[in-house]
Amino acid sequence: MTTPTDNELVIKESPYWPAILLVSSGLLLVFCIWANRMGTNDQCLKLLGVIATLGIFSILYQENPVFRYLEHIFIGLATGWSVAFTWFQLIKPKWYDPFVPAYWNSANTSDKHGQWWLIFALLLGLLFFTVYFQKISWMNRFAISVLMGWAAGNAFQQFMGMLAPQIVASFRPPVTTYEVQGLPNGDNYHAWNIWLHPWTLIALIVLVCTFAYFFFSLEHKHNWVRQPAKAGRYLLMITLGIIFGTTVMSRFTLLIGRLEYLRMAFIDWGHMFTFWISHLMR
Amino acid sequence: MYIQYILNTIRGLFFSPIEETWPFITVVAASIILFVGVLWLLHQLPPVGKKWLTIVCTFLAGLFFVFEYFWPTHTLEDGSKGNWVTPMQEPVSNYVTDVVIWMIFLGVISLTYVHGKRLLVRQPGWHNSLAFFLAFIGMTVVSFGSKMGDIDSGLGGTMTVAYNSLYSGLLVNLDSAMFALLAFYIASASYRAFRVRTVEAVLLMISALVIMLGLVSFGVALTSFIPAGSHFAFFRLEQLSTWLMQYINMPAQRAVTIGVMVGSLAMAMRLWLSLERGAFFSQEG
Amino acid sequence: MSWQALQNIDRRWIYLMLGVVFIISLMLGKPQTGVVLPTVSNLYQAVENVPTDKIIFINTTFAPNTLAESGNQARAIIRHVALNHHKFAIMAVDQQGANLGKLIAQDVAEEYNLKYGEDWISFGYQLPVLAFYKSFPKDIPGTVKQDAVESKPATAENFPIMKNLKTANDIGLMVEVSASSSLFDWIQIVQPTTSPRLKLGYACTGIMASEAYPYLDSGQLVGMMPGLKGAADYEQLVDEKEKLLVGEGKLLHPYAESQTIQKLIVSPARKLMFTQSNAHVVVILLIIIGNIGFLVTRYRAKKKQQEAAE
Repeated sequence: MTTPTDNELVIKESPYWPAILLVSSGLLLVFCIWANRMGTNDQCLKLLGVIATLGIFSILYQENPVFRYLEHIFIGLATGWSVAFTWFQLIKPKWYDPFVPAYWNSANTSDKHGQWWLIFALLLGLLFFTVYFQKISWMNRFAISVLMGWAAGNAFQQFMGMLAPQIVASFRPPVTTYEVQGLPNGDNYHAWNIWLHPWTLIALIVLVCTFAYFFFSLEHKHNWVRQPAKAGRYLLMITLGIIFGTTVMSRFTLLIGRLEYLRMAFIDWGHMFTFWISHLMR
Repeated sequence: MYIQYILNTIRGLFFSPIEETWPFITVVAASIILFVGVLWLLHQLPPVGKKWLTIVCTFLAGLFFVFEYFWPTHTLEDGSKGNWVTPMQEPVSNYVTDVVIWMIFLGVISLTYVHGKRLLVRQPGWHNSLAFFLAFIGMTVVSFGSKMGDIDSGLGGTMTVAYNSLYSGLLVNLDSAMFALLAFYIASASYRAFRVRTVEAVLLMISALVIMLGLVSFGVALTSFIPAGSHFAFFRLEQLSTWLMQYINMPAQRAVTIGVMVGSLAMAMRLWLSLERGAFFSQEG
Repeated sequence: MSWQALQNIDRRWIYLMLGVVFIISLMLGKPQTGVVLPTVSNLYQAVENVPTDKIIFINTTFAPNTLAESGNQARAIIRHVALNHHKFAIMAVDQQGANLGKLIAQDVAEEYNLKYGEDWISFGYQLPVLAFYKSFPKDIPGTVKQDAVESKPATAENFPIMKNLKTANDIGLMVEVSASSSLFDWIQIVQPTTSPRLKLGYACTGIMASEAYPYLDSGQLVGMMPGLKGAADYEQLVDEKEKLLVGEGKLLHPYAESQTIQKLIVSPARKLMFTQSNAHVVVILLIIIGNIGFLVTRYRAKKKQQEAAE
């Protein structure tokens, strides 16, 4: 099998594709909803899932209309779900219920009603939409920079919480001393011993070399900066290899999950098929 | 103590809920008119004035958390450590959340514009844009519909079933399948791109191979001939991969994390003090 | 096939090869027994060392696309907690994760006869805003407000488990089962405000694992379960403990023989590791083949250049 050339990859789409895709997907969805209402115990959900998965996997062979269609459906579903999620989890409990008086919102059983000052939250939020109007778009920039200023102030608080333990943990001595007193035979023996922790020393060297590599305030002219920076570069390559290895593991697990879902769906249908065949043959 | 008294007075005067309908509508309408009026006045400012307004408000917004962090602390009523600003953190961050939750609709507007244009002009692939709109409207309607009415019978029941079909049947599976494609792409990309051209590439490949083998049973079996308790046990793949993670990866990641945190703090300072020159400050409204 | 062609195998053959290996491995897969990672042992010990009067929080912040990793991690932790007779709470800053965590906990609770409200509780989805992280350590019932199963206020009158759950000091361990960077909010915002420091465990996807090692070293994390390997190792430790309990007559049968296994939303991690192992071998072979082709081609080109120069 030769790699298709760019010309071959341009699929001459049949003019009937739009109708085929729209009508078939609509019929399938209506059938699944009807079948689920009749109680098919999630078999139709599995059918939709298998079709969706195989349709997405079809891109692995070649660019095709089915994949593009499913991709757009995915974006539409995700956007619709996000809107509903935002309303039910964010806007309604945090703004609508506290804002609207109890008379208008009897379903709200919490003690928060009529917080009129929340209107300013809506009005300030609407400033973000001024980006679409050239004359007043400065208000959008104003709103975003105030938001960024607020987040930047937050960074001060989080900085020490995150970083202080890391800096403290870096100061681990590679050489320690320990005291020996007495021996099992009871002699009054006392000495100081030095213990070298080779792995801690290596970790310290890696830390210093990696810092040296990223330290751009000093020119890498002298050997005492250049050599550690060079070593840091190689050590970072090892780290990138480690990150690559764990990334491969993670990505493969995503595929394993999906293929396992397909396998279980087909096994389930296989069992159903053999059950119905044996039932019919009686 | 005096600051607390002033705050309580302001809270009592201005931040009292209004339950009665007409006073509520009046206050809300007055607030809208006041807000629009203030915006109109600010809009009359020259560009330099708008720029300084942005800089001052950005500074004040950031000052809140900086103030809370650096102001001396004492033991509060609930036994925790804090100062007079600390009790305000929760309501202020709740309020900021109330401001930013509306931004989701910016994305919706952008998507609607892009796909709507394609649909109206009948560009190639218009049926995909139609599918987007049908999916978006359908999902929104059934999400709202499934939360209203009886979920077991009638329209509410149908909406719930439709929601399950669209969410569990389609959305979840499409999402998972999109991510699963990455496995194929990473295998193909590593086959094509991993070439031992330089010393760095060799180091990268060796460490990747050690980690990939050390995490799975095949790799453990490869070096199982080395006795576990011996001096050479270090060279067993699972031990070598653990050592690489703990003594090479860990300090390097720590150095990167510290560097990133210091860099982000510096960037935060620049944003807070409006020293950053970009679209928000150089363009005049 | 020339040496040059070894470098240019059509990507679709690679996809096909990978797909076939995956499917055959999934069909033939058996539970694997491997060498347990030290970070997983540390997490296991941390759960064992939690006092019985403290509650363990399991934050299931993941989506269905990482169910194979995160679902197995969550199930392994919940099984361990249940075997130790610890009380636990499920919570998430992701809505899908909140639902999945609840389903997994309900399966395990049914198997080990755990009573909702007494032995475990689910607080469902919590909005991951600054106000939540600030108020959670000081007042847990006031922050979570209600449970996710019965939708009742989270008070001691409604749920006996809430009697001893007021502040972060009542939490013996919090395990974040996450496919995102939600752990760093707990480390940055919550941990510094707690005294003694809140013990955090991490069950992450493989990608996040290498990033988390500095926090393990500094003591901000007590243990970690990286990816499917971590889930399989933890499952192995829990299965060994379960075997002991079955042998002592304290448990009727292993989880693998339970009725709830029929409703499993994901196959056990130990079984899926067989597929993972084969997949890694395939990728390594592909890399080696590609490099053999590259090196031989480069050597021959150099040789030709030298001959031409002579």
